[in-house]
Amino acid sequence: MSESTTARPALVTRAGISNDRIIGDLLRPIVETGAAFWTAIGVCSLFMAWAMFCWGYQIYYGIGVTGYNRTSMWGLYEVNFVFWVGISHAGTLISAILRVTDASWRRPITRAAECITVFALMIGPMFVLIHLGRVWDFYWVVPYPNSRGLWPNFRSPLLWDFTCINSYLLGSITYLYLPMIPDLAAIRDAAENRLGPVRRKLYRILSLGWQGTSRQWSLLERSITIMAAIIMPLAVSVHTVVSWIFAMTLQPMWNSTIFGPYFVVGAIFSGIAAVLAALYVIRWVLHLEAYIEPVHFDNLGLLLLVFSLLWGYFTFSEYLTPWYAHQTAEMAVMHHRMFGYYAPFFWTMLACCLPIPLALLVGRRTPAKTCMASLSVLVGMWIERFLIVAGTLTRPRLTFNWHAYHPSWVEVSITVGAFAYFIFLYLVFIKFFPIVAIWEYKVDRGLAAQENVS
Amino acid sequence: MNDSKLIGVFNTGEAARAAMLRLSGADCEIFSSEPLHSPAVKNHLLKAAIWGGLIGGASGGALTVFVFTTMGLKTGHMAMITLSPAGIIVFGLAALASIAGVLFELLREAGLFGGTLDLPHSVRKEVTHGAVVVLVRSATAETRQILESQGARFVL
Repeated sequence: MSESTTARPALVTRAGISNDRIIGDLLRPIVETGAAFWTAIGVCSLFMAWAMFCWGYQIYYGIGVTGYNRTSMWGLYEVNFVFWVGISHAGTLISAILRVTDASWRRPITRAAECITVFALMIGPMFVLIHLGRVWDFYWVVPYPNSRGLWPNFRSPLLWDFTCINSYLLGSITYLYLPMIPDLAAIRDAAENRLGPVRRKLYRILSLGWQGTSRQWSLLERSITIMAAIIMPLAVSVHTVVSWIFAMTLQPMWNSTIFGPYFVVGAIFSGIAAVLAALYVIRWVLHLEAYIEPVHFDNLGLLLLVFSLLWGYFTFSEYLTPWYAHQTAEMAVMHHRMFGYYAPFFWTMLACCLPIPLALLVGRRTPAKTCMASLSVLVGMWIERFLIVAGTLTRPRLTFNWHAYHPSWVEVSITVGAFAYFIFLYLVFIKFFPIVAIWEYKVDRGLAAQENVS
Repeated sequence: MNDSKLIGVFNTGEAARAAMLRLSGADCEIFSSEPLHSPAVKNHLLKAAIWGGLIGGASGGALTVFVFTTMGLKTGHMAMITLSPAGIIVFGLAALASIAGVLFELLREAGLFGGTLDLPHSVRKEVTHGAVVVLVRSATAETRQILESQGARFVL
């Protein structure tokens, strides 16, 4: 076989953008590491180390070091669990909905969103383990014939949660990985001589036998579509089941028939906010202005606006019905939340989730404005979860049990550590994988160019 | 590399597809860094999803029925096998097994299991940087001529 190669010209995509530029821009964070990256990793590690110390302290001295007590048997850990599982609806669900509805603008942002799902699902359920106290006995919830000859109770919503969350986590990891295979092959082939031996091997293994044949492309696109269709009901089930942990009790303001959809709406709402905030930071830090464009913030901002109104409607319904029924126990909780001890939290939550996002998102939705709105929503939604958990448990049906719940420094430290852990995971992901899907970006630009021509 | 193989490296998908048309009948394959929207290939992905779902669902159902009947819980007026909790476990496992089915079938049908690569590294690098490659497995004397006449930048 003869060989007659020529120098490679600068090839352009169907949209006329230089392939070299796309590869260079999107692989830069993987092959180059700046001081800012190590600083951020160092700061996150400090917070994580402190949180680990606090967890160890709690294991050594017992759950009494938290602010939990006889009636407030759930607190900050459950707030964080619900919050993070809600955030997990960011990626996979939003990406799946946009994929199934063929919203082509989604392509450059799906990966940034999908990895939020995986990381949030790694963090959220961790709080259940932290709350367990004896974390080493966690495996008792796994349904297998253990040494005690006992099986876990499938009637318990906690076990439903275990099943749904694990299915969703494994499904989300697969859904994140599949569209990444062509990009991993791109790193394997384009940046091989700029990587160390371990990373070279990693990309070779992860990219499997991907070569980009038309058959492989066709099968990949088809399987992603099928997976998107499977994962949507799974995502909805996860937060519905999380809500049932509360709704299937007889606690005032928890035993509600609309808790399932209310939680799902809240989850998607906070999920979109998390995606927007993450996109803003990624765009700014990695200089990806050409890839994550104002149109993405505009469209996601519009989605956030719609969910803000939906959340407002559900919150209104959630409070109106008990108020009309005027049952003593429910009115005590409602009064406690709206005008009592937790009133500042309640009104902050309402302001953060309704008027502030509305004011920022109606009209021109710039990246900065959508980022501010999403930060406001994230704060508001965290407070909402806090009010649901603490607001009810501090006002149980028997009035002699009424008290206040004050999270301890251990709980606060672990909460902060979880946020640091999320940022840490995100940074590590960016270091190893392209945060903007290279091939999907090319397809998106190609389609846009085609539309312009036609 | 087998001597009857020829690799044509093109700058555009259109040129590569034109070459593929000229080579119709030959055992050839096209490689690109983005989907070229060729006609969809016949596959069993949906079947794998459905079968995976059925197997996962049946396993979930069997697990819950087995557990409910062996636990010996005092259930009061409730049925021993309660449908709604069983349904959630069945649903979760069905979805998971369905996803696993699609993943397995994709890896199998797309030939991703073995990790065998047909193209040398230099050509794969060209593909990553936007070139579109046509691999002819059973090249004849005139294959090179066809590839070059259709605008191949180089032929290996």
